[in-house]
Amino acid sequence: MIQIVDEPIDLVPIIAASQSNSAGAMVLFTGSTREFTSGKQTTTLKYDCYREMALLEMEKLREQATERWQLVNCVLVHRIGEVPLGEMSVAIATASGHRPQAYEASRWLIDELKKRVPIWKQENYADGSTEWVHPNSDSPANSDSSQVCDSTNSENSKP
Amino acid sequence: MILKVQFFAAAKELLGKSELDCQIELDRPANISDLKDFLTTHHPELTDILKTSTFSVDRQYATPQTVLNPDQEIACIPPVSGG
Repeated sequence: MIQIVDEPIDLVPIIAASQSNSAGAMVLFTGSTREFTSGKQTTTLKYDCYREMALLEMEKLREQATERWQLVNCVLVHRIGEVPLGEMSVAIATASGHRPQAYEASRWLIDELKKRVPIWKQENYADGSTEWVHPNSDSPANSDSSQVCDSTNSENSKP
Repeated sequence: MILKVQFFAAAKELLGKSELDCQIELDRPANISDLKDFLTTHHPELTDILKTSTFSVDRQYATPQTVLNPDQEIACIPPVSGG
């Protein structure tokens, strides 16, 4: 299950889609809008995307993770548009026979999603300013060398 | 030839629109590198964002050498920040 949604993310169908009799473990990762990044106060995040290509890249990630970690199920959902404080912008569910594979795949998927999938966030700060987040990473085509941060708001976006 | 190029996020905001027709006339088929040169010349407001942006052709990441034709779906991809 691969989705880009304009509404709040509903975890119930994501969990349902990841369950299986052959999965002994399921890891659910969610990323949410955080209020403070490097001391600046965020009021909301707004996401833009190249929808058709983003879905293709998310599907590639799903296929690669499924093969590498022998996942039973893998779900990637990203919300776009405005995402208020505390609400989820991304959810990833990985299900496998045993837990190590589900945990490792989950971490790899969110890291790669942040490097490769054509989705962009715009910070809307409490002081009224806005800023598109474009980390100074290498080309996503050379994704292994680009920078990653493990939280939803990007720490490495400031000039 | 005229290439239709899509823009997103800061590139779209700097340009003021999400799509641009780029007329590139060379004595050989244009590639991504030529398109970048064209954009830098005709839209200097994009100079900085183009330095870190990559491009896609038909929804796949392209290289500077990827050859272009008017039937392709071309997009400028600034550094991504999903998640």
